[in-house]
Amino acid sequence: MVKRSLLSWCALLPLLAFNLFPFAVVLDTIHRRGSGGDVRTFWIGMWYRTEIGTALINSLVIALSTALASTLIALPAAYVLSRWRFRGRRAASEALLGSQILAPIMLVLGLSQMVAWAGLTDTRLALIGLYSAFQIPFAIWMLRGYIDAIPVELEEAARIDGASRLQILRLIVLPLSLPAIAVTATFAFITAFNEFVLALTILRSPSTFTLPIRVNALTAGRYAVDWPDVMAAVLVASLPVMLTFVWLQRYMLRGLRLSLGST
Amino acid sequence: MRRGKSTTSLPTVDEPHLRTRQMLFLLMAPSVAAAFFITLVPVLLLVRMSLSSVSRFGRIGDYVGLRNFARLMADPLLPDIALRTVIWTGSVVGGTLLIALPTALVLNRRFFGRRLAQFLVLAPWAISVTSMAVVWRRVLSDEAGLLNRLAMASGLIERPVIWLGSIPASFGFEILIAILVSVPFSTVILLAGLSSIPADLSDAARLDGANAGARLGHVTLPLLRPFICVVLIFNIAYVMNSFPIIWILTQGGPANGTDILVTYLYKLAFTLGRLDEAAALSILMLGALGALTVLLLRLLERPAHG
Amino acid sequence: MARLVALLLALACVPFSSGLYGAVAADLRFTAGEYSGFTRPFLERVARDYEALHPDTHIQIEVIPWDSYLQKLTTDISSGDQPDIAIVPTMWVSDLAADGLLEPLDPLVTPEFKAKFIPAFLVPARVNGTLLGLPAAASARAMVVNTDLLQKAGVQAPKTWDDLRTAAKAVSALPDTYGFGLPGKEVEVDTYFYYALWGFGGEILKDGKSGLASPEAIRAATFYMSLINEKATEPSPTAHSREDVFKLFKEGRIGIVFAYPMLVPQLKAEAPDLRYAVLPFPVQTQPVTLGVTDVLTLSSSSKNQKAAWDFMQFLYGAKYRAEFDHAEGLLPVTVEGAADSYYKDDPDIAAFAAGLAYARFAPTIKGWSELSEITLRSLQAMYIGQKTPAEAMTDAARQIDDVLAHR
Repeated sequence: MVKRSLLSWCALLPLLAFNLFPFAVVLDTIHRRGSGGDVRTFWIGMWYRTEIGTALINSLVIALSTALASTLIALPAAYVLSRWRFRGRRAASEALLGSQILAPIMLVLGLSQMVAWAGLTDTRLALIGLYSAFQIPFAIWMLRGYIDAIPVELEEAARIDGASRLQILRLIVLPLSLPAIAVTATFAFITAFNEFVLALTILRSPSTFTLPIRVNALTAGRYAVDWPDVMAAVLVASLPVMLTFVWLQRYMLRGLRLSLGST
Repeated sequence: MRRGKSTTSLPTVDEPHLRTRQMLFLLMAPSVAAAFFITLVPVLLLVRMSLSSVSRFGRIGDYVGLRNFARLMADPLLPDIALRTVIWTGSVVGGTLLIALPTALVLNRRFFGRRLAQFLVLAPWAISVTSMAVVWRRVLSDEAGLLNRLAMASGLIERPVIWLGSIPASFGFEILIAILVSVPFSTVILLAGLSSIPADLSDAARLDGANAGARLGHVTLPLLRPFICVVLIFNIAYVMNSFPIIWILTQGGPANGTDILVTYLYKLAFTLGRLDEAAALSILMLGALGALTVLLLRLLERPAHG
Repeated sequence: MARLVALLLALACVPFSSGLYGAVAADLRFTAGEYSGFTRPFLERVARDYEALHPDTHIQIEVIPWDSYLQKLTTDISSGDQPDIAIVPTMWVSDLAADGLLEPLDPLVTPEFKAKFIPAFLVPARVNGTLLGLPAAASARAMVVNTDLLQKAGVQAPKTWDDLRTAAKAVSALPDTYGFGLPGKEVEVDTYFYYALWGFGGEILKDGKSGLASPEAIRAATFYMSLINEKATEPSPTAHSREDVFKLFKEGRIGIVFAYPMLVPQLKAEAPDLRYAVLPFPVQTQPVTLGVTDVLTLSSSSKNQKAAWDFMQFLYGAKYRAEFDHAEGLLPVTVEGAADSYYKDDPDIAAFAAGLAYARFAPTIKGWSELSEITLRSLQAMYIGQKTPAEAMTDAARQIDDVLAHR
């Protein structure tokens, strides 16, 4: 076991070195900041200068809403695809995977027009709507795999007891799928939290900026870039997802295994 | 875990019952509507733009037939960029798989600190692609930066190196970063696949005298194939989202030497103001990617053992 | 259709929508590029001041990084959502005008108001004789040298282009320093070439054709190439953006750069110990510099043109103008502003302002950004050694002529 552990760690070492390198650069740049002042002054100053707080709240609101909305909308559809047999079911499943190729950047010209017509340019609502919609196929695909694994006998028993379909969905499928819902929502959260191209096109005012846009605005098209501030902002921007990993890593892997099990 | 044979045994499911149909519609409608609006509507808008003359600031003018496609085909830069896109996609997707697969195999075994190792493998996923590109741009252009200091300290180089000085070096670094960004997600999917392979299968193969390599080749990989296909599909899709890497590091330069189709699309639309040709390029790219995905899905459908 | 989309988007997120948006009908949207961290707070303040005087008007300020400004404006306009007021670079005006997006200002401007401006600055904002914008920001370029480095290298500040080569080579010979900072990446790569092009007597456009294939242009390109080959510039110009070059200058590692006035406040803040001087560009036959103007424009489709025009005039209050120009390191656009002793007392600012007398502007023609991109591409190919100066210039000229012929 000791030998195997050493071997495993050695095998992973090059990748881990690459993975940790950006974090090392971030800390190194912050550490080497030219202007004096202690750590606390720097962080407070940076928080104020970069307006990272507003961006953090925006990103959290948008990502959490997306996670919730996309999962809730996808759940009934996933249930249908798992339990109903209808013509086109197979095609629908394939379309779910296939739709992943629709990268927002190729549709951005059309999407921004849609958002503007709806009068939602520069709102967080627009991003929540778009992100949720983009996330739904993946969410259905994940949830369907998981629901496939829920024994159908449970539902039959409930039917015999006189439960309606909606009741079955609410009282049996929903509680049993909670782990998969958590995983699906987490994926949606991460994707929405880090999305760039759509946010860049739709957001205008700093009060709606999300973290990736804020980080970009700190570097792009500026006459002078304050790198320690930028790196600190990058660190702040990656903390929420990092904490999610620490917290949910085990469930993510397990949920994913169950969801993909029926691929 | 395989798709349950009992799923179809619900008595009412196959009945063309009106209420069931309504229910089906009700449950599917929100998802279908959402998918419809974010795919069909923008695609139709793009088709209209690609067949019209569109001004610098997006005013849609006359119908011009296939003129925009013809102009695009006549663009002398496009063949190189298309070829580079193939190289980019191949290297990033292939490289990701080559790194993610062994990583998943290692992480699937029990060893001390496995949870920590998993966390560290996932860590870059927490940094958005934008932030990652910003950090690497800094790394590669800062003469006094960490990379140059480490390389000098280890005696690899004598003086600080301008890492983005040549086209091959720039493009190489961009591929490397794109791979690093895609590895965590791919590893997670493969890990999920590996852990769904029953241990007794591998044990049985061991009892039959198969060595580790044979077990990997004859048991693990075939069973993992659907997951590998999923990884391929997702990575091909995400290669398009790695736009910020090239845009932030080199903006496709110098002299279009690191442009791929998405960066050129962005340039066409927003730097050069040829929105109609950009729309045409979008349509062509959607078509090509669609064909590729259909191909991969066919691959996914074929039974695991031919 | 639009309403359906709105409905769908709204339905998807009903529980979260409250308080996310609350637009009022009589809004004015005002977009501007981000000159510095000062731009937005300043414009917000002016807008709030105006709103205090006109409670029925609400002004939404959108300050956008220059980098993504064109993209945002394009998506705005293509989706029928053009801002009522916008500060845009003069080089976009022709394209905007071609789509009929700008309101002609001649009927609105009173003679007194027009008299406020330095007449030369009203010229670039005219298309076919129609005034489409008011000068909002003006700037001229100049040469900034690190006097310590030049002294250490034992050379004088260059007066001619040949001097520049000698001085740059001498500074490059010092350890860990580079003589001349030449940006070869991202914004203004072409602009840095126009300085030399004009300096050697060339033109960007001549008689409706590209001037890049002219002997003067090839001589200018050959000159820059000789600087690179003789290691008088930083290594790999194509890996260095303008800001990268300025960063090296601030670190005291570059002897000579061509710069905008905004560099001065940055030097004072970030490199207080650096000794520098602001000087005119090298002269071959006659002094040249690039003048850059941004203009304040009014949307032709604005629903509140009257209010918008009123606010545009409000922006030219003397107090606001002076504060804006000083903080952003810009040069005056109004007669009153030019009389400010600030532009004479401060030697750095005065040196930049001196260039206004003979400044040239980039041509205001439709499709300018495409010509600029072609030039950038050819210069980069030359800088990395893919093409000789003559090849790069003739190729660029041919492509530009193609583009010009298409319209």
